[in-house]
Amino acid sequence: MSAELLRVEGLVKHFPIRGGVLQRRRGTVHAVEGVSFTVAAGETLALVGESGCGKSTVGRTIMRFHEPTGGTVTFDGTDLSTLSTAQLRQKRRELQFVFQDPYASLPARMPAGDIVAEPLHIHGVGDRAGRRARVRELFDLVGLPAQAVSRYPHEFSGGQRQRIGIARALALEPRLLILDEPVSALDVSIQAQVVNLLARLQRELGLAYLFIAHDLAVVRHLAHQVAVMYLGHIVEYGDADTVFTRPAHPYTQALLSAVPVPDPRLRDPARRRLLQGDLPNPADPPSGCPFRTRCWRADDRCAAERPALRVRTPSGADTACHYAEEDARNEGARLSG
Amino acid sequence: MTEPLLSIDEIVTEFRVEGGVVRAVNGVSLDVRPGETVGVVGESGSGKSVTMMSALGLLPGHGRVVAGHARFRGRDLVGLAERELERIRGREIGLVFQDPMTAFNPVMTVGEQIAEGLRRHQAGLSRRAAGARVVELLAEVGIPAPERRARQYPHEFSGGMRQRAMIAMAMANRPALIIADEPTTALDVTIQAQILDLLGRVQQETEAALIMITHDLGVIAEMTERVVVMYAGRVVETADVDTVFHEARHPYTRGLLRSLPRLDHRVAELPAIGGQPPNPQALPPGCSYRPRCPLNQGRDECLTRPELNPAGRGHRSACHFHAELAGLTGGVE
Repeated sequence: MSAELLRVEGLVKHFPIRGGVLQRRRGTVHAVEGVSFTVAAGETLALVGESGCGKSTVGRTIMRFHEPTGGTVTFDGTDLSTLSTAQLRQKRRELQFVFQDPYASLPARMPAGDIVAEPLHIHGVGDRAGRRARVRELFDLVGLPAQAVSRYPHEFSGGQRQRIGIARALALEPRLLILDEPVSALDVSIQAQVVNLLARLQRELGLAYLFIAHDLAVVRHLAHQVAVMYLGHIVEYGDADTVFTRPAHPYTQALLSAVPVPDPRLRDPARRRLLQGDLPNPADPPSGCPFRTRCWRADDRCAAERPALRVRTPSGADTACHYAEEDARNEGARLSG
Repeated sequence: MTEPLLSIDEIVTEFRVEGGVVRAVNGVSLDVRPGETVGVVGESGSGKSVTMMSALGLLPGHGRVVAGHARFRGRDLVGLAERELERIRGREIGLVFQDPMTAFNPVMTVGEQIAEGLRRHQAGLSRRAAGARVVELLAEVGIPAPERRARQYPHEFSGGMRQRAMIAMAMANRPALIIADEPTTALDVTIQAQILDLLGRVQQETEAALIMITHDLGVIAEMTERVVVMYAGRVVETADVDTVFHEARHPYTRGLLRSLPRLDHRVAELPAIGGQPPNPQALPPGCSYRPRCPLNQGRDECLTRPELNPAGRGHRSACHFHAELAGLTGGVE
C-alpha cells in the first residue's frame, strides 16, 4: 500500500434537533458516531451504505462544510483542526469535493469555462492567459470539447455537466477528491463513461478518492478499500475484494445479496437476505449494535454490548459484529460458487 | 396463444414545448397477456413511462396521443372519456409509481384513501367493511400494526412503507393488470429487495399481469419474463428475458448490458457506449441509434428507419444488421 494521505479518527457529527417557538434543543441526530479510516495516496476508499447511514455527512465534515462534533482529520500529516483559516484554505486546495447533482451545484449563469476557472481566480493562480490555458487543458483532460468553454450548464447533458464539475475540482491540482454520489444521477450508458473517466484520472494524476456511493456495483469497479456504514458507524472495513467476496458482517451480506443481478440465469430469490423493517431513527439509535433491530442473528449480547470494529475471521475484513465468523464462511461459499 | 390483456398498438405521443413539438413516443407497440410479467427498459427520455401514461390517459396537459390504440380487454383506452378511464384505473388496472408521495393525498389518512378506492369501485361496500378490508390489505403487504397505520398520514410513513401502502392500494380491487413505473428507484437497495419480493408475491397471489417499467437491468433480470427495450421513443428490441440478456440482436441492448458494472466480476475498463442519447427535438434521420452504433460504419441502410423485424422465435429487433449479431456472445466492437 502506498503512503497514507488522509486519516480520519473517531469522527463524530451530531446535529441538534430544535423545535418550539424558542428553538430549544429537543434532541440529537447521531449522524456520525466515531468513524475512523485512512485513504492512501493514489487509491480509492469507498464509503458505502444506504440513505441516513451518515456517509455523506462524513465527506462534508471532512471538508468542514459542517464543524465536527469530535474526532480528528489529518491530511498529509497535518491535523486540519490545528490550522488557522488561512492555512486551512491553502490545504483545501489539495482536497476537493465533487457533488452528486452537477446541475444544482453549477452556477447557471456562468459559462462552463468561467466555472472551471473560478477556483483559480479565488486562489489567485496565474494571470488571465495562464488561466485560460489551464481551463483548455482541464477541458481536454475530462473529455470536453474546447469550444464548450463558452456554453452554459443547461446546454450540457448530465454526463457532460458532471465532467465540468470534475474539471473544476481538478483546477487546483488536488491530491484527494471527495466524490459524493458522482454518478448516481446519470443514465446507465453515461454512467460507464464517467466511471471510466474517474479511473483514468486516478491513473494519470495519481489522485486519491474518497468515493461516497450507494451503488455497490460501481463501487466494486472503482474501490481499493471499502467501508460499509450503518446508522453512523462503520460496520465492516477493509480491502474491497475481501469485503465483496467474503463479507463478514450480516448487514454487508444483506446489502450485497439485495443487489439485483443483471442475468436471469442467476435468478435466485432464496439468495436474497431480506431485512425486516426500516432503518431506526438516528435521533434515537438502539443500544449496543446499531444493526441489531434488523439482524437475524441478534441476541441479548447485541443489545448490551456494541461490537468493536476489528479482525474477527481468518481471512475477512475488520467487522463490528459479535457473530461475524460463521456467516463469513457461509456467504463466502455462496458468492464464489 | 392467449389473447392479450393489453395491446398497445403504434402509439405516437407528442408534447408541446417552447418552440415546437416533441415526439416522445413514436409508434410503440407491445402486448401483455394475462398473468404475464413484461419489463419495459430504457434510459431517461426513451419514452417508456410516456408510453404507459399515454395508454392510461395520464399524460400531463401539454402531452397528446396523436395516433395509435391501447386496447384493454378489447376496449380502446385512447380517446375514452375520463370518467370511463377512471373506472378502469384503480379497478381493472392498478398503478404503482416511483414516488408514492405524489400519488397519495397528503391531507387524507392512508386508510381513508385506500377505503375510498375500494368504495368507488365496489358499489354497496359499507364504510365499516371497507375499513376492515383496508387493515387486511395493509397487513398483506407487510405493514406492521395495520390498524394504527391506517389512521396515519402519508408523511408519517417511511419511503418503503409508503411504497407498500401504494401496492396495497393498487391491488385493492384485484386488478387484472398492475403497472409499476420505477417502483423501487427512489428506495435503498435493501428496501428495494423487500418491495420487489412483495410485488412478486402480490402478482402470484392475484394472478395479475405486471408491467415493470424501469431503467434497472438488474430489476428486469430478476422480475420479468418478457422484455421490451426502448430507445429514443421507439422499441428497439423485444424478446423473452433470457434471450435479451444472452442473445440480444440489437447493438444498443448489447452495449447497455456490457457497460454495466457488475458485482460478480470485475473488468479493467467498462465498455461504455460512446456519445449521448439524441435530443428528442432533433432525432437523427433513419436509425436513432446510428450515431453511437458500432454496426453503422457509414452504411446507407442505417439512414432509413429500421422496422422491428423478426430475429427469432418471439424475438424482434429494429436493426438492419441484427443478423450479424446472431451467435455472437458479448458485445460488438
